[in-house]
Amino acid sequence: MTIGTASSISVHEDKTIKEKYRRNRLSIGGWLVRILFACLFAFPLIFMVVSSFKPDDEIMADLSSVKAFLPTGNVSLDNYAQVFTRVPAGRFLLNSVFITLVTVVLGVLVNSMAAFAIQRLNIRFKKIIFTFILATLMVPFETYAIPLLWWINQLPRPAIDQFGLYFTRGWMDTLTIQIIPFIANAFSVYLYMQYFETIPKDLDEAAKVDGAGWFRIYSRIVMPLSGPATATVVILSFLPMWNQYLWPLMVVQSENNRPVMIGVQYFQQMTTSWGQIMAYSSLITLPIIAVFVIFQRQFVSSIAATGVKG
Amino acid sequence: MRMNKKRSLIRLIAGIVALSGMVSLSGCGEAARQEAKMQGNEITLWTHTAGSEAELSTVEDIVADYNSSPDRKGTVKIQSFPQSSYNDSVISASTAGNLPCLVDVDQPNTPYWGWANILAPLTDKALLKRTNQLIGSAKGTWNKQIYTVGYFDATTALFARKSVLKDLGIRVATVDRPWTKAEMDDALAKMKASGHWAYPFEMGTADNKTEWYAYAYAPILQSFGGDLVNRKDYQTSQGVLNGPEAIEFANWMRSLVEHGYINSKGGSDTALDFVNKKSGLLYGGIWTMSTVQKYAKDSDDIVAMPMADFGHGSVAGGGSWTVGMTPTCNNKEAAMSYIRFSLKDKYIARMAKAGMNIPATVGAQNLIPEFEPGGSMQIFTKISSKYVKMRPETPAYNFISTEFRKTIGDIMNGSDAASGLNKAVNHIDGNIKGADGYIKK
Amino acid sequence: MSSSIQTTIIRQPADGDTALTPNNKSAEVIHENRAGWLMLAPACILLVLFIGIPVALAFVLSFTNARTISPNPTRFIGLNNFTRLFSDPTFWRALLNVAIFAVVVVPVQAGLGLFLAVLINKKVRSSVFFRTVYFLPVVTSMVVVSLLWMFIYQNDGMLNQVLEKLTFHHWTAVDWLNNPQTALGAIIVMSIWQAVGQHMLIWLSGLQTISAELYEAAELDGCDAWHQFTNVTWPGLRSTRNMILITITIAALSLFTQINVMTQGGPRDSTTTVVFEAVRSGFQQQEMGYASAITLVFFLIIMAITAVQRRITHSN
Repeated sequence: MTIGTASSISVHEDKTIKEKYRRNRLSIGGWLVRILFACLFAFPLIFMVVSSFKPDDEIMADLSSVKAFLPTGNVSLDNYAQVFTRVPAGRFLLNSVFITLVTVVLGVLVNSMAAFAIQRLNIRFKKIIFTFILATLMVPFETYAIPLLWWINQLPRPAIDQFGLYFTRGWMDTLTIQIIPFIANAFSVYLYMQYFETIPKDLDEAAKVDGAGWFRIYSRIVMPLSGPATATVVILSFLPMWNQYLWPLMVVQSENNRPVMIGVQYFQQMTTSWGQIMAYSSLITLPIIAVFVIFQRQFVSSIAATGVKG
Repeated sequence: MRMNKKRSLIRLIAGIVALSGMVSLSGCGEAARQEAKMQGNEITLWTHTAGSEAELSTVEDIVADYNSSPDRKGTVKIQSFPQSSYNDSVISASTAGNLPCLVDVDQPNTPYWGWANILAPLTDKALLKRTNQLIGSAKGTWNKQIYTVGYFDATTALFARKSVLKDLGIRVATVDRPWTKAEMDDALAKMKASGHWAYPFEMGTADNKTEWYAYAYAPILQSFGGDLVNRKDYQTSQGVLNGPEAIEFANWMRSLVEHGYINSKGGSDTALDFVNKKSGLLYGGIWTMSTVQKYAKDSDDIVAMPMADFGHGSVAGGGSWTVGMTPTCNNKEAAMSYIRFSLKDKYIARMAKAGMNIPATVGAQNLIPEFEPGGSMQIFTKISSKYVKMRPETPAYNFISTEFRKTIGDIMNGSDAASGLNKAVNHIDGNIKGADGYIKK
Repeated sequence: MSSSIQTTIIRQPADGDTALTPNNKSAEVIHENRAGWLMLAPACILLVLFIGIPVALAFVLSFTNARTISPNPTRFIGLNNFTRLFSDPTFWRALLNVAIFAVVVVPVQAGLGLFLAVLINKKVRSSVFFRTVYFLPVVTSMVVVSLLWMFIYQNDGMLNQVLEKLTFHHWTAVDWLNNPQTALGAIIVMSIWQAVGQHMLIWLSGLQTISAELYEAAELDGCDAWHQFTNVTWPGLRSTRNMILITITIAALSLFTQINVMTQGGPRDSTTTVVFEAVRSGFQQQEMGYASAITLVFFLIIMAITAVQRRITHSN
């Protein structure tokens, strides 16, 4: 059976990668181009981190010269110390980790299943459904946020306690309202669909002959081969969730339920504390970079590299 | 291998469930909150002070005092929001039917929120008696009723360095004798000619997402003789926002750009730019003073002056944060008793001092050395009491403000003044008509 | 453990045993249909509940005088919002702006993203590092990014300073974001810079679907890098390409965040966009009905463009 070879696949893959590393030496030109682009893309992050150690007046004064990217002047950790007294950063981080994690995990499941059904199965009204899903991409969230707010408050809210799932009233000021509307995502469905298209259908047929049901084909054949798509979906749906800003400010009242992005506004009162914004932004950017670094590893393994053929 | 995968998946799911339990137990606490609501006469106060430690801790102290005072009619709980998105939070809560008892209100929004049933008028006799003792600009009124009261007011002023003015032969303006229009133009011309600055004058033109344009530039318009809306019955802007005086004002604003006196998109932090000597003259809010005192090594050299008189007297911006009560509040008595409690001179003084704003009573002013006669901030009290003109008390104000900032921005960037203002007037009048005149039935 | 599951499944009498008889052919179709709907249901229900219905509500509101907050009852006002919209020059300007934006950004961003993806798809260790660096603009907070770019674009900002040095002081400074002639261009450059990492990532996932054997075969045939690209990479990316084309177009036409943070549509409407106008009306001015009318028109335009794109890509 083709699907029982997960371990042998990865061994085979390791070997090929090592070979590749030896073969794919970069030319000097390649290095130059890569470094050039790196400089072009890295400078805001350098600016942010460097500025997070400077007092406000120096940040503003340095902005008109190259000093903006150099740790010059009165460098200290003051901004970081103040960030933690001004904002419950730990709480906000915990909230955002939870909201983002749940949305992304459920999103991967829900959206990949939908993509699988549309791409692989013969179901009625397929075209209409796909058109509908695509159409939901075409209305920016900001333009229906207010009707959504009104509408969602007319619905019962699902909640979980030790006895299981139940429904209750009142969405406002919960973590649930920051999660549920964003689980299903047309972009993720679309991305999975186009990726599934490249996975040979012979694999399904073989499994079907072996008696596997559709859900099994989805979970044991198609999904394991879709690492790069899942990585892309995870990274690209992690980002907007982590950066959620408009919706939480509309629906969250307690400080205890706020996500990280709302924290940025704590530093913009009548006067703006630039250094603290930079320090806080540096702190909340780290988790995104971590997620990226972890998941981008998926981009080396793939159906092509494994050499699996139906 | 596959078993491992499966186990790790199970572990992941278990972890998420555990984490969700943790968060919901410590975070939402909905049941606990509901219980507290039932138990006492708890009322919630929404403030705009999240992240502003001095102000928030003052509110917390006042609330703690109230909650332990023998006269309390209920218990007050604080919910703080960041200022820049505060209005959106309140409007959303209103849409979702989720308003608290007490809300902070930016004073010019009072009529709008009163009209839209976000605010109820204050009716408590003792409270109204106390509000009579506040300076006029610390109250939010509409339809001859008081809706909100404040502990302080802010204002606008010109900031310059005495040494610079002296070098260039420019008179230091005083509260009794602001610059005339000719003096203002002359001062700007001299500063530009000195070549010290790319743009000598900074008036916060980059701040086009907030109330700043209407708060700071409408006073200039009014000093020219125009206004935002006809204040007779607040039904039209015709003739006041597009009359000859308004056109003269708009052309003057554009001339500032054309002469290179200002950048129509100025700095991101005007106060710090001024401290760093990137501008010679700054038109800013009273809060500029805090930045100056914190960062400027030559803060003794920096002087605050009233805005110039463009023909109809110098005019200063007025109206700051106030507090009001919602119509859905289920314990109005407690809400108003808290407001009255919080309006003691000592609290007003602390609230004002937290943001270095003008205290709303003379008694409170005398409790803060900076605002006492001879104090470093007293100039702002004088400017405000002599020249303040409140923003128009109409529910249309919010709309007017957004139109005004777009129109003035366009004109500064070269649009024709008359047609731009006519367009704004049409939009404003259309908005007022669409709301049936903003008349509350 | 895994093998026991497999055996139980095989032993189930459901599909395998009986699938061969023609009568059960239709049963299988029904089964497939049911399985499909079960798998579709969660996503569909969520999309209908949290996008479909609210958007439909918004579309209904576009025929009313609805306001976000108001004590007055909402009433239908026919096509008034639409006649007002079509007679507003700012709206036409917004349409023109997003059209220009999309025409430039779609090919450049997609092309540059593909270039970067190919550049770092090499399986060398440094790729991990460069991939991360190229993705940095996407993850950096918009507050930070906009502050920095506003300073880059200023009169005495870094861009003008660099240009002055390069031209040996023949350059006259331009206030990029504050000049109606250059503001949209400045936004375009900044937007491409910021989002290209995202599209690099999607291309990268598409590149993983191309078999390494194809490259090896091409190499044996003596193909150089360019011919490898045209003969192997480009054809192999067909479905990724179609998706990127459609999603970039939608994203470009929906331009909003940069405008909201950096220009507020100015100077003189030179950077305003349709979504920005909708949000300005809906949030700042609280004219829900009018904002919804803008949204509805915008939606119809995007629908039409996407339909044309899909027709073109499918006929290929």
